[in-house]
Amino acid sequence: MRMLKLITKSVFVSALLLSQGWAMDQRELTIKAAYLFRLSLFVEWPPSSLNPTGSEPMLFCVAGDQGMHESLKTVLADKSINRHKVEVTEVQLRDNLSACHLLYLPRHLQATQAFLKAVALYPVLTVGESEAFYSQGGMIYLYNKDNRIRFAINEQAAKKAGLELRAQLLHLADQPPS
Amino acid sequence: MKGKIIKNLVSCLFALFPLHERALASEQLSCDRVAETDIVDLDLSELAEVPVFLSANQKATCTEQAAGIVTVISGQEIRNMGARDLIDVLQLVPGFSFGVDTSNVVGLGIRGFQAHEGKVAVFVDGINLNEHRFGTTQFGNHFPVEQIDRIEIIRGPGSIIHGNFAEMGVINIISKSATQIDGVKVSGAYGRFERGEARKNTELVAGKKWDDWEVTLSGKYGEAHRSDRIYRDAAGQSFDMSDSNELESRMINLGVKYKDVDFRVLLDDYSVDSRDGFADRIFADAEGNPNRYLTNRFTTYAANLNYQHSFTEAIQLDLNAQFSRQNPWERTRKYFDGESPLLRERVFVDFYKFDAKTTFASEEGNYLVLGNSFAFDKFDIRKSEDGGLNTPLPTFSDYTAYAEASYAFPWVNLLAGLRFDAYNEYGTNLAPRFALTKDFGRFHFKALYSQAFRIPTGGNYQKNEEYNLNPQTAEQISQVQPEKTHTAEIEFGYEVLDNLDLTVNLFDIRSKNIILYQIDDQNNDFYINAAGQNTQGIETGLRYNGKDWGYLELDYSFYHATRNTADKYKILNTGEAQIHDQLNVGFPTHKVTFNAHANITPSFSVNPSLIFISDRFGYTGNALTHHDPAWMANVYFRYQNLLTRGLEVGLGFYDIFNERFEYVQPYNGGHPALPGPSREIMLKLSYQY
Repeated sequence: MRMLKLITKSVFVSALLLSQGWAMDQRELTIKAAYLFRLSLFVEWPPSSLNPTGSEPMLFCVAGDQGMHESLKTVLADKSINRHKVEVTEVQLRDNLSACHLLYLPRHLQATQAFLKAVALYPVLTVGESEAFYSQGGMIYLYNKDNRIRFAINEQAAKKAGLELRAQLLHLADQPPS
Repeated sequence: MKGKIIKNLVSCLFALFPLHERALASEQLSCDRVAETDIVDLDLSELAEVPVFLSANQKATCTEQAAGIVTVISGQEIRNMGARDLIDVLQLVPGFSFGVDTSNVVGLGIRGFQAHEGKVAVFVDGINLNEHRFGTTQFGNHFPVEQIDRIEIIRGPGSIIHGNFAEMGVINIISKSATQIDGVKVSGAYGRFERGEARKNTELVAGKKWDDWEVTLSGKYGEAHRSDRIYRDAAGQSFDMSDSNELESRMINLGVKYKDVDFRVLLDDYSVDSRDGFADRIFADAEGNPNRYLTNRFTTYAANLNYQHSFTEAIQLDLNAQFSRQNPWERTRKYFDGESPLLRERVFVDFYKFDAKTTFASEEGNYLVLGNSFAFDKFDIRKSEDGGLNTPLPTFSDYTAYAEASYAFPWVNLLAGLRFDAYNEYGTNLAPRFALTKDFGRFHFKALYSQAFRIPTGGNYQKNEEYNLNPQTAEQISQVQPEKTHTAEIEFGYEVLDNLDLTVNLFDIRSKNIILYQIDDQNNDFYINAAGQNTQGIETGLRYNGKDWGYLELDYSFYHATRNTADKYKILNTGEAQIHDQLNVGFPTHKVTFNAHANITPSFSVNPSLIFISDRFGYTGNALTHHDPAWMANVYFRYQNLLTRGLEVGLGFYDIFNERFEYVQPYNGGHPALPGPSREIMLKLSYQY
């Protein structure tokens, strides 16, 4: 009877553990949030989107990821980029995405292509985590290699959107994983 | 003259430690502390070097307690597992074991030692919540969990840094900062046993940062029952715990930070109802009929003021002032027939502490800390039990000077610390600690030695004074003297994979002059020093971080007693023969814990946990009792952002197989094992905005 109980318990636990998902560790979120901030320091938005001498806020949009949204809010509290205070908001596809200066598309997002399409005509820096994101025209691809976060850049996509990436950023970028 | 000495001392320190203005900011990038607080300040090339998942050795090297055996539990893990209170969290810590003290009060034991009475220090945001009368901390629906950022636990001696009450371990609860909270979160939990209500808790967490100001506020109001089972005393009398033995908790924690000044106020009001009585019998009238119960109330009103000043980035001054007013073990007798409650005992303890410390750090990460503090406990006996002491207790003071230095040699990191205490009642004490640590890539080791101590409290003093005043007392006893412990520990860690860590540690604890609670034939209680108690053991930890889908933790701990001169801790049969010389009363030899978290979707997660405790021995009256091994299986389902952003629902099943854990008294005080929570279902709702 005791053995039966033990087996039942083991099966119960194993079944629960076989399930898979997509949520990220808090530490990973913090590192990625720091990346978004640091990457933005090397990007120039057209004056129509962000007046270089103005002080309007810079909007970081996060598509459907509360964890990243909270991490960004924590990490970027009181942070400014060239006098533009960073504001963080969580967005849906139906929102006005053209107001975003940076759009973060997490790995688990189903509608990556639709989001990219929605901002294709606007100077919005897109940062994502999936190969599909990169191959579909995303600009900065964050990926995990050897337990470290690396980034690859699609310079053409950025140029097409009217964004200028500084040479230093291009120098620091890696090749996307094959 | 004094100024000259200080000047010379500072000059020597500068000569010893080549300083650099970036010294304090130059810690390794892999350090946990840097990762949590300063990652955003790293540039892109530095960010590329930050490991996503920390190995045990990286954590070991970088956490503040690197020179100790440490467990760090994040707030996220706590909420993932749906912890009902701190007992659920601490049950997962290797070597930790819960047992009843007396009168429905439950406390902690560590590595085979009864630590409840002044041997494990509990801090909430730097405020010590041990009551200063006997040193206890009470568990059971007591502490809030929603505001926790992390709990840092030292599973070994902590006296050198944390002073009295830290002889066997330290539990440091750290709340979320204002920027982490950035809003308001309210939560409510309702739990039911099979035979009655288990708990109803509401918690509030709020925080906001405005420029240089940060304000956090958290609080809890909770009511719970210890169990829904039948308690049976040594005479066979019983009562149903499903509608009695209530636990009531109210806590408010307010923090205000302005630049380098940090001020915190904490109010804690915890009440424990007891029908189970003080020792082997339930509360009853002269004919043996239950007629009353007892409420033990523990209140703490504490304030903490910190000021930090950096002269350069390499020299930092920390000033701290603490005050608490406590009213612990306020005993009120309450009658079932409506008779007015009778206050039996009320003692206030005012605690004051002033601490100043300077840290000198070098570019290489070497450091020297010099500090001193002055603390005193002032007792005010307002009402003592019949025949008790009505004269004031002395004020107990302690002047402390301490130094700690760490130096990284190419082949090993050496840490040495020394603490000097001068007590007005207990003479002086010099306590050293040494640590050798090293990280070799995937492998790390620690070799640690520390002395630790437990200084008698005013409560110990009061009991012995009262004993001597009692006309029934046959002979006078002296006051107890400080207890001292020598602990040697070794830890090995190996990073099997990037996300799989294994740690193994061994410990040897030798405690001398142990402070021991005694009751004589007339039921008068007092304290003595017993010659000694030693334990040895092993603890292992395996942690797998599944990156995307969650994590697994598997821990094992084993201890055995190697010396025990105190009959109270021995396993004795009715013939007073010791039937097991390697076990102490109330402690399991083996403990295995398993905790896993699986993200089914980004919003929905499942967290099963299992705790195995091997058999234990206890006493019912004078009769030895054997308690079978127990498995406790819990599972918690958590759904975040349900219907709307910020709304979270959790559903937990605890002790699924209804193994009915019992809190065995970890000394022979005659109190039968106290039934713990049986199978419970708990629903938790929270909303953050």
